[in-house]
Amino acid sequence: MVLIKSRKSIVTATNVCINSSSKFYLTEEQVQSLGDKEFLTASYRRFLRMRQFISKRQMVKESYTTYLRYKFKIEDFELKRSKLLSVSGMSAMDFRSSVQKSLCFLIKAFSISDAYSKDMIDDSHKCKKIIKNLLTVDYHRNRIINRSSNMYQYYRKDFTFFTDGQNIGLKQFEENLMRLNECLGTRL
Amino acid sequence: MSKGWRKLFVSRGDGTKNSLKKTLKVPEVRSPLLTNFHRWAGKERVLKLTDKEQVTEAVGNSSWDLSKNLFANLLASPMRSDKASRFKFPRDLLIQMKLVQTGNENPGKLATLMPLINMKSGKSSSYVANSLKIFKGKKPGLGQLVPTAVNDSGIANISLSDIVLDKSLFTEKHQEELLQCIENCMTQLVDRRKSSVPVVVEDWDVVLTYDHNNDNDIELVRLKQLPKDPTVIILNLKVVENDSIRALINDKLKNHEVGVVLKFLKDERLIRLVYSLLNFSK
Repeated sequence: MVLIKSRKSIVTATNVCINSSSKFYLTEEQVQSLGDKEFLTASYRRFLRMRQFISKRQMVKESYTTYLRYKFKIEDFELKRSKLLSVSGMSAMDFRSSVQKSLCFLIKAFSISDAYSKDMIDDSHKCKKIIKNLLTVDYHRNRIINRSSNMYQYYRKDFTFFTDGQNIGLKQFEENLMRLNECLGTRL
Repeated sequence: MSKGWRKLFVSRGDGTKNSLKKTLKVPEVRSPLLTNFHRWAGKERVLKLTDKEQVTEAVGNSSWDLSKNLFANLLASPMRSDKASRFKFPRDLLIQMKLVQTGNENPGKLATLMPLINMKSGKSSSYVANSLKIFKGKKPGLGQLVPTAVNDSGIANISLSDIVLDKSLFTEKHQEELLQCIENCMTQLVDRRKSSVPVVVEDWDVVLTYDHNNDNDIELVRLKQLPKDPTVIILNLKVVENDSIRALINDKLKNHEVGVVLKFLKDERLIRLVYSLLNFSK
């Protein structure tokens, strides 16, 4: 049941549908033509705009922001990738298209549309669950990191836990995530 | 006297500063319509892509077929707490453990802590990372992995000494059992697969191989020699060192030049078993 309808959104009894606009996605043209710095800031802004859809809970929203900030500012993705995957199976990854695809992943996870086919709706459910799981694991990692100062280096920068067998569960999770990234061309 | 006279009427303690009571205030009542309250507080927000054009621009027209992808399915399973590291992980990446009633072979014991191969619902189970290495070391002790529901029970008082905690159940026996399950699955598959219809390799298909020349056991490969160059997941079972499985993979089941091509939706159980065995024995 629609309660309020405006140009930007539709409010129903249970949820709020925000009408999409070019503010939420990167077009092919933008990906190609923007300069390096503009591209980074534009994509960062768009990722951050997705924050409102992640969850109702403040805590989850915050862990999403932390995750995003880490992804953009600190993470050495190539190092992580080379540590997790065998060298032969790797294909070169284009930075810009992978960022665009990751944004696409997020939009898929938190969007609805009448134009979606059945397969795309299935995709959407899967994406949403994966994002939520990812944020939960990230939250737990932060919990450990906040406990002592050298853990940041261990879990976030050197990725030593991939090789020393201290946290095998986390290693397997990261492996799977990296393989999924490899399948889809994303950078989660 | 002129300033402090009120203290005489309302005496609170000895009249020092610390004992002065805070005056209680009734919070100012304001209409939520007048204050700037969060407009849509408490409602879940979703992004609505209004028409086909927008869908094409934002996410593209084709779906990714994630329900056919092994990794997406693993990662999307519900979260459970890993008893060893106290992290939460997707359930399908972990081993489920339950207490099973002990038979006659262990007199004086009530239950055995067992790793399960097929996940079962129902209460009182616990989970641990799917790896042989974890059980090789001293930590975690198996007592740590017992489902906590055991301690919560108000009726039965089960202590750890009543439970059979046998590490071999988690190491060699678990591996053997997994292998046995895989073999059963494969023989069933041979029986089912009578007609030899040529398979078309698509994206996210799983290819089983038994190849000693290949060092990797799990690999993502783009097969450029095939039409539409599909990305496939290659699972190399050479680590098991088992002749009957080698014969099954290299001979009876082989349905394509690259190996045994399996579709996730059709042979989900076999694929999951093989994947968990490979992760386990790594």
